[in-house]
Amino acid sequence: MRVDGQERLQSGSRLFGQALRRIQTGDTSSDCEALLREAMPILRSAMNHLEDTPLFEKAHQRLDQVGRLARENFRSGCALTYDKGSYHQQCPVSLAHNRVGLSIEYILRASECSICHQDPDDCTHITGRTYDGEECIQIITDAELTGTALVGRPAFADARIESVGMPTDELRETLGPKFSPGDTTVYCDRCLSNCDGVTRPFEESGHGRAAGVEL
Amino acid sequence: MPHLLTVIPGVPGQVGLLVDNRVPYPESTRDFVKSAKQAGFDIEYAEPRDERRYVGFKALEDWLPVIVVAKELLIGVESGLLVELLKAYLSPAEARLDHEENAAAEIDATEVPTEVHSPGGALLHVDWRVRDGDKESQFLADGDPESVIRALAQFEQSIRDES
Repeated sequence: MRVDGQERLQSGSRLFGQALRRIQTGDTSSDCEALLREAMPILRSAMNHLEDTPLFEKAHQRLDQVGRLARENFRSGCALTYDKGSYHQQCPVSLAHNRVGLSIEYILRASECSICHQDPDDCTHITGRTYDGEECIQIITDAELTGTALVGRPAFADARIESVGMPTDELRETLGPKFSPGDTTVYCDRCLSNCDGVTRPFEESGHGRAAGVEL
Repeated sequence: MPHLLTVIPGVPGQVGLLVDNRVPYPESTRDFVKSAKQAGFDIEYAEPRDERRYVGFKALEDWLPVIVVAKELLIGVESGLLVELLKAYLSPAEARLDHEENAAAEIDATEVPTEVHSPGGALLHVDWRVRDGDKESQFLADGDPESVIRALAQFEQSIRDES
C-alpha cells in the first residue's frame, strides 16, 4: 500500500512540475491545465495510500499546491457540477480533505482459495501469506451485501466519496439575489485560501459503532 | 480430552448480528484457526462447518473470532498462551519459533513468513473468554496490535493470579 502511495505521489508530483514549468513560461493552454487535472486524483489516491505515514502530509501539501495552481490559472475548471437540480463538489482536491471512507458489510456465502482453489475451510493456506512466490488471497464467489459504513480507514484505500451535494439554500444565501440555480456558474475558491488541514469525522465510528449507515 | 481453545459464534462488538438466524463468525476466523493450528495450538470450532456463517467488513480493521478457553486448561499450560495465540495470527514466523515442534507436521513447507502485521488492518477487535465452571472472565479489546497484546498479557496474568 505504501509503495503504491509513493508511486502515486511521485507521479502526481511529476505532472505538477511539468505544469508549473509551462505556466512559468507563459503557457496556460488546455494541455497545461490537463496536466494539473490529471495530477489531482493521483495525488488524492496518494494521500489515501499513505494514510498514517510520514509521507501523507507531503502528498496533502502537493495536492494543495496543484489545486492552487489550477484555481489561479484555470478558474473555469473549478466550477461546481450542476446535476439533477443541485450543485455538487466533485473536485479531488476538496474531497481529499474529508478523511472518510466507505466499507461494505457482507455475508460471505462462498469463496475459494487462490492457491488451491478449494473452499478455505478445506485447505491449509492462509490469506495474505506467500506460497511458492504467490500470495494467497480469498476469492469471494458468492456474497450478499448487507450495508455500508462510513469509516476513517477503509480496507480499499480509494473507497471514498466521489461527490458531495451543496445545499442550494446555502449557495443562495452566500451568492445573493442574482443567484439562479442551474444558470449561475458557481466557482470553488477553496484553493485560494490557506489550507485548514484535513478533517477526520469518522475516526471513532464504523461497523457496529456510531455513524454506521445501513443501506 | 477437551480442546484447549474453542471458537464460538460471534463477532466482537456486533451484538445481535444474525445470518440465517444463526450468530455468524467474522471472515478472519478460518485464517485465524489455521494459523493457530499451524503454530501448534489445540483449537476447534464449537459448530460443524455446515452450521457456520461468515460475515465480512471492508474497513482497515480486523475482527477476530470469539474464543473460549477453560481456566483450568489455561493455567495448566505455559504462561502467555493467549498472547502467543494472537501473535501466531499477527506474526506467523515469531509465533512458530515457540511452537515449532508441535506444529512441524502442519506447516506448509512452501510458505514464506511475512512481516509482523495484522492481516486485516491496523485495528483489532477481540472478545476472548476464560471459563471457570459457571463463571466467565471476558477480555474485550479494540485497538492496535501492540496495545491489544499488552492488555491481553495483563488479562492473562490476572487470571493466573486468581488461582
